[in-house]
Amino acid sequence: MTAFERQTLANGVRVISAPLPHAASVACVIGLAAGARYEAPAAGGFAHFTEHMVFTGTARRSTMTELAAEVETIGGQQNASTSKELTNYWIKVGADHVATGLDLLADMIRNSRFDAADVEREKGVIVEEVKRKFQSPGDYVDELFEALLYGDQPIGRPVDGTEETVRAADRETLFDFYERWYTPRRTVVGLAGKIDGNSAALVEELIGDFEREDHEGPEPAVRHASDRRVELESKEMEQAELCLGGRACPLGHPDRYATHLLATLLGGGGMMSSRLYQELVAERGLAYSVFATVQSYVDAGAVWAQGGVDVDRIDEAVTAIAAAFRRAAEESVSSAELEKARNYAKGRFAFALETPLGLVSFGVRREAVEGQAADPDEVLDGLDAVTAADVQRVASDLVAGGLHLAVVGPFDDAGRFETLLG
Amino acid sequence: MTSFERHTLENGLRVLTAPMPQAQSVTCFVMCAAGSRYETWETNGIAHFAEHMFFKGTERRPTARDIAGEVDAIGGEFNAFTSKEYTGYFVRCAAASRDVALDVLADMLRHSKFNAEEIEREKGVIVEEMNMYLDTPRDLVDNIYEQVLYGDQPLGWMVIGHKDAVQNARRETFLEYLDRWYTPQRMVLGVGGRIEPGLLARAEELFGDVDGNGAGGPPPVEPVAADGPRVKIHRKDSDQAHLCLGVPSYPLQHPDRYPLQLLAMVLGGGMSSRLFTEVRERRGLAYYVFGVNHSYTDAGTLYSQAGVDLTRIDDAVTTIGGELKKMADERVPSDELEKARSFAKGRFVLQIESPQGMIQFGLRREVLEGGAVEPQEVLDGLDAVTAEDVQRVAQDVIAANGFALAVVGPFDDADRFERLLA
Repeated sequence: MTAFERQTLANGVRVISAPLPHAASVACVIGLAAGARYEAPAAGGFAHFTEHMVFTGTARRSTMTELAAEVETIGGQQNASTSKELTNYWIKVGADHVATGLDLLADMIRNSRFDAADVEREKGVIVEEVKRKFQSPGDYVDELFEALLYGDQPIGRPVDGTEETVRAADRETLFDFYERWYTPRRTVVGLAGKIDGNSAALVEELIGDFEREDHEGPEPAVRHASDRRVELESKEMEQAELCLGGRACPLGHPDRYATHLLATLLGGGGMMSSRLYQELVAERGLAYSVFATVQSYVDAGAVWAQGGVDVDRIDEAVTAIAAAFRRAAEESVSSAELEKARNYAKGRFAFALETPLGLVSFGVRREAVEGQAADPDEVLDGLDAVTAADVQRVASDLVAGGLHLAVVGPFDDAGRFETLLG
Repeated sequence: MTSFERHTLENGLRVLTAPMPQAQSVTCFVMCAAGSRYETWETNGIAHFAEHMFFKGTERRPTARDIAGEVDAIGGEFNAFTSKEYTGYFVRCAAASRDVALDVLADMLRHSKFNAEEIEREKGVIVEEMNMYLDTPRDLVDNIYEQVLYGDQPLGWMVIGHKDAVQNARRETFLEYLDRWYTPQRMVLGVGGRIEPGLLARAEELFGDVDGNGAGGPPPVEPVAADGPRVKIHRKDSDQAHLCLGVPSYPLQHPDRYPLQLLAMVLGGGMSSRLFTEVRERRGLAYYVFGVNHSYTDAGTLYSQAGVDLTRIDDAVTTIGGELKKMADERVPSDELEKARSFAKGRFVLQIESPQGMIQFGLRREVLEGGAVEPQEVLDGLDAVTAEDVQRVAQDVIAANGFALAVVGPFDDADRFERLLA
């Protein structure tokens, strides 16, 4: 049985739906294959800014409050997110209100007003968000790491831009981003939950006549040619923040699931029995927190460990994390440990997809970014097929590509860390 | 078909189930009718400290790694919380792994070692958590507000406790607290989601020999005498002030609970509420503002919380106070009441859609009010509320009581605020 029914409207909008007869609600998602990666350098943060603007009103729903009030009136919940390759809008509503919920989302991505006064007001909000981020190094050390790894190309830049680029935005430039990238062929509509046979007609009615000129996407990522392995931001802090890791496979790659399990056994998603958590937090008390993560794009990817560490013992922490990557490359993981990581990863994935919103968000993400909404079983099968040899191979590819380190903390000698990376 | 089924083991421990056959996962919950309100000043914080210690090791699972590893290996997700009147521990996992999850939960809660060295080590972590909490005005302000309302009695103290009590905690402190309150009458095992056969036998095996009588409980809350408004300032140098302003309301089981809930919703639930519109949108006085009702078994409060500009805090206080009074003075228009009603109902339906949400709803009622109720009862209760009910309740709680105000910000002078509220 496949989880998603898939359909393409005449204008190119793709629709995926997952009927869940026991659900009481419906999750509606509109995903756009557009994000921070689609920005010109001077337009840093425009994808995220556009997401904010989309909530400020449409031709028919003229203010932010009116829009929000309509969601509340039907007891719905709504939110959105912007990443480098995807912008996602969602609403959860009781099954009786699916027409209103979907109308609202379609209206937002088609008819947003981009009122000049709203642009100025949201600018203030976003600048505050950006400033606040820079007060918490744990919130941006990963951006330094990606900048180090990818250099000055779109996937190397922060999603929310810089204070300068945000301040420079105006109604025209933002609306231009919206018109250029919020197009039918980049749009995926997803519905999951208590939906009936009328939902196809509803989608057709609300978005079937959406016409906007399409544009080619951004240039593929190039491998950043630089010998620099350490990015250091000097800052007086009680606790240093760091990311340490290296290059990994892109999204569509056959090694994606092995990569996922490598990150899981190192420190996946807060797994407390993971190697890094146990060694750095529980046993040696070097770090306050540590986890490992995979961040992949259509043509690039990375795995890194991230944590907040004791400033006096950072050398020890860096050495230990680098050693954990090397150990994964040099030694085959035991079958018990691999099974634990596999069960953990499968469990997390299955839980995330248990809600209508979780299920359809997975489908929309795959459809919009990778061109096809994979069945959840494909992921579970992929994770099941990973062997200890696969994990070791992926780890040794990563180590061979060079370990990289980004640090924010009270240090001024990057060379010291270069040495520790080996 | 009912949503909940209840069984009582011979020792009095209740087992509440919410079977949801369509789910893949199961959530196993132990909720206990005990929390920081059950402490003395000398032990204030021990309920929360015990939550940390439960994860450190048992006879059969000697280390934190053993506990975490076992749950990780079934792909489970662990969570816990401690509040003033109840405490919960739960694991969400695949339906087939339920018995492992139950075994770990029972073992942690019943056979934790409370090793003296581990206790000493954890004190540092708790104190850090406390420092962080005290540094976050947005989290702190409602604690200060409850001090205003409930004064120097357990309900007025903080869940996280105070440093002296944490520093003085010893193995015996935990064991005494747990012996006294973790008794069969106070504990409910809740299981929601896909429930495979054999649950009751397993529950009997793991919890059937919990003993103790758990009679008694903390003294009922004493009203804090006041003539006129009560104001407490927690001085903190910051560029934004946080405040809570409200009135005493009703305990949980009050017959007017649903009118009170809708009263809070009209006043401050979401972006279409009166407080959001008047305080934030129309006057720009606050960065955030909301209004809620928060009830305990024998006390409650209807209040607004806001983060405000320092120079305009007087306006914010006056405006919020004015909106509260208006609820008592004027009847809510019917469209506004309908909007609040569908908002409340919609959110409730979404909340109980997941196994975890459903069982948590049932358990909270079971533990605090003596019996889980069917979700339909809540929906019917909300449906029955009229505008007259809302005004009657508003007159009873708002017009009849003096205001209580807590402020975290760079102020010294409580009189200034008392005059505004007089």
